[in-house]
Amino acid sequence: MLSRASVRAFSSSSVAAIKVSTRDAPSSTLSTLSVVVNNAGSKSGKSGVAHLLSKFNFLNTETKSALRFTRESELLGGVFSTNVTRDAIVLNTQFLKEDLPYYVEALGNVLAKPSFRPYEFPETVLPVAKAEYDVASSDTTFTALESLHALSFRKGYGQPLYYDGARPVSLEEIKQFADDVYTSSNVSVFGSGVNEADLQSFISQSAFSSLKEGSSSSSSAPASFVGKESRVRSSGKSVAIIGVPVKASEFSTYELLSTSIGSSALASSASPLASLPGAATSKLLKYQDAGLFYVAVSDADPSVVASSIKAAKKILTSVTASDLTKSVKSTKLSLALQSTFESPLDIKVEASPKADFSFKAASFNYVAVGDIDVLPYADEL
Amino acid sequence: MLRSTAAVRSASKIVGRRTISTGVTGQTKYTTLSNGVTIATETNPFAKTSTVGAYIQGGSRSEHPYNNGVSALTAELLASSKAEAGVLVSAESTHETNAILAQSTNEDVLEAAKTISGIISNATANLESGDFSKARSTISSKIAAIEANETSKVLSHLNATAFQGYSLGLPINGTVDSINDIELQDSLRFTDKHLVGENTVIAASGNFDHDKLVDALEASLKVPSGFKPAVKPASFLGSEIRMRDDTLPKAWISIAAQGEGLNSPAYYVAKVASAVSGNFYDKSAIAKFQSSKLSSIVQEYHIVDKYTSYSTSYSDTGLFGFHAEISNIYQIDDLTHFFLKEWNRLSISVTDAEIARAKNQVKTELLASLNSSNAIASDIGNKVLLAGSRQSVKEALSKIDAISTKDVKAWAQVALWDQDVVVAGTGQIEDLFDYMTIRNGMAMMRW
Repeated sequence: MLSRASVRAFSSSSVAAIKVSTRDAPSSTLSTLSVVVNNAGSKSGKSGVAHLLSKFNFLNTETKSALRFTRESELLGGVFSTNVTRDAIVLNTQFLKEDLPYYVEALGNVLAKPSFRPYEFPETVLPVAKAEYDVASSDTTFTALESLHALSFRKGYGQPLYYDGARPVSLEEIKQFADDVYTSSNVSVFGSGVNEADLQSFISQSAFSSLKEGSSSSSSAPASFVGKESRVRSSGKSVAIIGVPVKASEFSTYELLSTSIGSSALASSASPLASLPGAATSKLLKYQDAGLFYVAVSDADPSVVASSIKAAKKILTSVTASDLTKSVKSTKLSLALQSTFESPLDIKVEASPKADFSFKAASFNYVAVGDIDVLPYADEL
Repeated sequence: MLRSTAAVRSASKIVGRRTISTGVTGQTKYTTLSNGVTIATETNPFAKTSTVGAYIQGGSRSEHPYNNGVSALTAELLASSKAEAGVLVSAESTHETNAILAQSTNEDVLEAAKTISGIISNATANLESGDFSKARSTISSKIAAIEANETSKVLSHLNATAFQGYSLGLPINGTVDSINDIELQDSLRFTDKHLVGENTVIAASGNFDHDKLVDALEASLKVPSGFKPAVKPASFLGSEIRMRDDTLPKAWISIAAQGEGLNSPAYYVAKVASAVSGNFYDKSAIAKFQSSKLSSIVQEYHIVDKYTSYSTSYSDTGLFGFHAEISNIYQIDDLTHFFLKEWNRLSISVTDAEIARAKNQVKTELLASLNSSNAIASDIGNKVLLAGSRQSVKEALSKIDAISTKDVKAWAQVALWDQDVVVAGTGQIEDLFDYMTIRNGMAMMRW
């Protein structure tokens, strides 16, 4: 079964419309099994509902109580977690190789047989979601990025990542959302260190097979907006962010731009941004249908942020085509570091890129969070 | 021991062709160069990137209070001395080792090797031409970041008080006072003594060919031959350090007993014992379902926000303890009481089911920690330097499998029962009991 030929057996096939990708190595003893539910991220549905639904994952199902699943899983040494992204709800499990059937069954039950007990909502889901939101928003960079998304995309990717409690979401709405998104056409299963035939057969025997088909909604590039500005008074570190919504076809150019000025995916003290006072960095956030490139500066001292964001803007505008060409190799490394088995990046880096960026005030979005008395306005950059 | 003759070297070439190993269970391959440098690699077909790292035994344990931080500063300066397109160079320092890591795509692994050779072979010139004050400010901000985070601050001071009077107690990056007194001469003296053949290991992980890497390094790597400097002694002393600060919102405390060294036969026994209480986070969805006895007690009375159990190991000693973050500041004594009773129970009445669970959890944790080419290279480099060799993951797993409840009890009766502890805390720790009360909790009047 575990022949050498099966090393690097990447495959993609479908049982009941579920996409399954596996890779296997005969000597590995640890397996990871992840389920990505596409079109179920915070861009879909009412704001916050995806986050709340994700917190119901691994709680009681029709076949097993949360207590029993947690304890059984701990006894097997397995680890499980779930999180929401802007595109998807992701469930991750890690376990010793022999426990594959157990986790296939468990993940299938989470998606196909959730029980949504009414008491779980106020007792577990709401406080846990609230705590996650509180931890995230205690970081002013997170607040600034949320605001930048809202400016750049308004709906969809512009919706808050987490449930913020501003408008209540009812249990009925969560159930309805689960019914809409937990469908076989949305679900992709990624197994690392597992045998493909085994996984396929376990999936067909599990609750995965009872997922209804659903309609696979075709995704299209969302509308994006530039030239907007937002300023949020807040305690904590001051942050200033310049952001540009990016089309999926421009990912490679903006990755090159990010690498050449200093990317947080490739932290190096030699980059132009790293030489600025305060923490200055750039990144291209890559989603399914669009991206968001940003340059962020943060520091406890707002005057440092004010001067560094102006300097960062200068660095941005002075990038030339030859700078981009020079960073081709590093960009390949950066993409290799960002690419994972569960979310592979398939971006071709051009060998001779063009630097046709525009960073005039009307062509980017700008967010200032913190001491906004001191932080500059977009047109002052 | 790790030295292989030319015959062995060619044997490893033949083996190399057909070795298929993943990052988690692969066999480490060794080659020793004529100047004494050991090259240890592990290949992984899934790796997206490769890491080549130069590891030297040194770290803050090789320092004294007046040049504390010199090894971390030197590693930082060396790492920033060379930039190559497509190669990400970084420095990594621990209490006992320093490393310079070069990460690249699998295709560029020879470039990464070249970068490492360039940095190491011309260390003196690189140090002299490097930006010393920039490296110093990088280290200074690392020191500030550790002190600004209550958890890392408590753990750093806990280590300092546990090994007080010995160099193992010194902080990795030095102190604000010591770092500002270090000059280039100190760095040069450090590399003269520590960057020598016997004391250097090149560890690499990723998807590449061992022999090609060895050939590239053999041609370019120049390290003066020399012997490993003697490792300074260290001794655990039961003691405490309190950094009470009532302006902080919570209490952060850590208590530890002396743990096991990397080469100790009880290394994994301590890890398993530590996993019995495991970790707990009050705000997680599964907090109320967790198996450990302690987690059910603490969540019922809400006496802790978060705790982690650890068993950290140095070459010849270690720390076995827990760290806790507490907002219910009037019940710190309850938490310490219940935690120490759990440790008592390890000597007396820990159950087979608990040990079975802990063993599986330690296994997954071990495998999952080797999740990047940097992590695997560091595991190889540090283990080869500090333990003499790196056992394969298979060996490690079989050692964990062999642990019985009896072994854990026998270990706990010697290592924990009625043993001295170190205590550190910051924040609102008025309610953290005095040393003798905590120390008395390490045993019970009844059995």
